[in-house]
Amino acid sequence: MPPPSIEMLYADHHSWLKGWLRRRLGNSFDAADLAHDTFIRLITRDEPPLAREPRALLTTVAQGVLSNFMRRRRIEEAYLATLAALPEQTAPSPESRAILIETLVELDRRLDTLPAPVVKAFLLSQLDGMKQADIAAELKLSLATVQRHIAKAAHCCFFGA
Amino acid sequence: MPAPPSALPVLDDGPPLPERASRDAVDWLVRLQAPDANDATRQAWAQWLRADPDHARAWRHIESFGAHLRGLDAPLAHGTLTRGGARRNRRGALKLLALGAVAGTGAWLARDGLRWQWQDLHADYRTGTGERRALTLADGTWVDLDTRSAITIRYDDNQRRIELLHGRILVATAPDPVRPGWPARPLFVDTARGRLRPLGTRFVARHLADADLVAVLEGAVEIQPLDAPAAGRVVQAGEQSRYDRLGAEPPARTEQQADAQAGAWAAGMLVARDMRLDDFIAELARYRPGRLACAPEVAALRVSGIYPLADPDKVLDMLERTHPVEIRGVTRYWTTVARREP
Repeated sequence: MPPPSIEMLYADHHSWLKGWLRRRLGNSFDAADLAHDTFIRLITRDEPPLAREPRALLTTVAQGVLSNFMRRRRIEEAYLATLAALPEQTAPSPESRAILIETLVELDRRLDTLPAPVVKAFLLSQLDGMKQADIAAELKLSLATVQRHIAKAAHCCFFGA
Repeated sequence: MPAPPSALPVLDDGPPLPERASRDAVDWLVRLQAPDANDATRQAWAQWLRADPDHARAWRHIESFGAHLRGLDAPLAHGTLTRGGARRNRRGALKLLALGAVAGTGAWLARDGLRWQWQDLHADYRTGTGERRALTLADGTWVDLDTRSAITIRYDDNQRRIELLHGRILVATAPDPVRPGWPARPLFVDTARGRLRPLGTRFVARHLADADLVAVLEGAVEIQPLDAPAAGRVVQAGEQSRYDRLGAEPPARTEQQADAQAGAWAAGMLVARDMRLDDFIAELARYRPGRLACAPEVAALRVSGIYPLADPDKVLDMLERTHPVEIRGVTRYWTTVARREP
């Protein structure tokens, strides 16, 4: 028996997946969008979906879609809050805003597993251009610790892990 | 949607980089930026760079990435990453919603269409963007929730209370069903800034950024501001009034307002009467996921007419045909109504 096609997965499990997402999102409109994105992801994967546990497969892929969505929402919300706290003239144009959000979402993903002090030292060094000695004073850490933090976060950020 | 191209620099197309090379490159970056870096440091680095083509590849990538980071608006980027980081909370998606509810208490910003969901986790009923929902409560009272709205219901032995947490509702009250031995319970709608006491009515209650609003369709509603209950007013059918914790404005005729639509949203319509375009867009944005903004140079254009809320993008198309504007959007999250360039 040939493995089930995406069309069959969709017909059999699309509604169920929407319900699963709706319970986590709190509304059915986002759930419909993300269910759609989940199936798109499945279509663009290389291997055909496995026959055995379609719902497990769907939830695995949907978890990834959901996590991206949450991350993006979190970053957008943080962006607006940060913008609200900054003087008017620093607000970027809508086009560069969109690119900036994409960049920040990606950076957030790469820095995700790191503790806050590590990320802080890294951002102060590579974003703000603060000198290592000043960072050490600011964060009340030793210079060696600051250097370790920067190296660790830089490797995650620049090389993905 | 398929993954967008990376917004950040990627390593060249060659074979994967050995981990030794990338680790060394990062170490050199830190060493060169250290306070004790001198000519000897730089010579040692240059020697390392020449020793292996992979070293040069790794270094080029670091340089290009670093340049990209330095090109970002530092306070904006830094602030966003610090506020938005999920490192505080590792317990999964649903808990993240709860975190947002605790952290955000009390501050509903005007442009916060993106944030509102996380705050209303304890709501009994809520609607998403573009969603409408009609409820009939136990006593027969009918509540219609507009887009992005949230309420709680608190009916007990002594009173019937609806709390408007966010957004807009239309309420058609029913008299308390007769219970032998019990007096009829009053019905209240509590908003952030006051208490509404309907006097047998149909009315709209709305939570706005800077005030609350009640518009009465039938009957009358008494407003009791939260901190000055005696300073309230009674609003009659065909009238509306804005109020805050300390008082209520004199009621104004609803039909003379630019947003002449006290209840039209409940029928899926946005009714505008000589409404400023920026106000119109702000209303429409509530029904559309993502961000919709109006450019300042077209903000004062006027809009009149009846527009279908079920399809905000179609409304934007209609605007493009009837007004000298064009709709610009880079991603679905950033759409702007701007002046049409000839």
